Amino acid sequence: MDKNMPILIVDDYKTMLRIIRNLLKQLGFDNVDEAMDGSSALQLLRSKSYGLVISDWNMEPMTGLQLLKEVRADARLKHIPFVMVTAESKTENVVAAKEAGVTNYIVKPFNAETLKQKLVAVFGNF
Amino acid sequence: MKAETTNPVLSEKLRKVAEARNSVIPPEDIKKVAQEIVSSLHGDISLGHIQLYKELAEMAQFIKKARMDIAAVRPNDIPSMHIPSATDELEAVVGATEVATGTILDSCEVISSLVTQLPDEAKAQAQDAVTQIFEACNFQDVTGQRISKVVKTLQLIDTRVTQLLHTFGEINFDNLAMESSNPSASKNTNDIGTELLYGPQMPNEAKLQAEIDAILASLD
Repeated sequence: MDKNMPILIVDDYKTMLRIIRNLLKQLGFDNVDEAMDGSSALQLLRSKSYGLVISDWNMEPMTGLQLLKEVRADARLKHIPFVMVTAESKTENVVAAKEAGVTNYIVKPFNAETLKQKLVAVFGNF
Repeated sequence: MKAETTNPVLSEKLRKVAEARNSVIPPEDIKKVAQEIVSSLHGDISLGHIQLYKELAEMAQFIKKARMDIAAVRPNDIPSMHIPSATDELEAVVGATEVATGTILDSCEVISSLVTQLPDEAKAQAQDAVTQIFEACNFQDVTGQRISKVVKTLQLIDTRVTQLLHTFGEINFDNLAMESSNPSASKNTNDIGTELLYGPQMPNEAKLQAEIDAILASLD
């Protein structure tokens, strides 16, 4: 896998964006863009080729779940791995995300090892 | 005070009582007067009605006292002062933790950039320590979401108190009840996923990552 592939992280908390960006950097992924809601993430996704989306769920005006559905409904974007990183940990949340086509699901608060495991699950060892 | 009645028999009795008011009145006489009063009642009024009126008067008194009790806690202050103050305080907590977390992250990023200058063994240890700080800073996001839930609860209390005030006639917000009973009235396509927003679960209820993984795997 190409560690220089562009990754889009989406969260309405700047702090969380910084945390994920730094953890990705420590894992060797340095080409990271940020968006603070689903709508602006969708615009970025349609303007640039990304290798991975890591998104929060609870955002306004467009939630992470809707962003996921939009991505999966777009022929040019539907192949992009999509990892949900959220504090929503109810079974129905996981089921809804899975039905919408999520690639993996990380519950907050999470650690670097969990993030690494999910990236390995998506891309294989790196 | 002059006793007045249209019943001549009763008038005579009252006159005699009034004449003798400086002397001791036997209980039997008082009883007789009371019986005369009751027997003099005409029209649709009965003893049952009197009991009903008495109970209505007690209810009116109870409602009056309830209103005074509610007024004593100054319910108008709840939506106008206490709730906004509490939400402001909570938002200040979120803001303060965000600033503090930002400062911690600034320092971590500086340390991270300097780690490469350390000997290999120290480099690994320093990098692990920085990673743990990054992980610990997750708290700010989760704390923020928990506080948001509390703010929403306060806003719900605000709505309910306002409705109560409306019921007691203190204020009049015409559309309040309708808005409160139909919160999804303005739902649009951007609300997809919001119906599943519960926020962070309490530690004893939140699923572990391993449980999330198991659910995901079961759906494959």
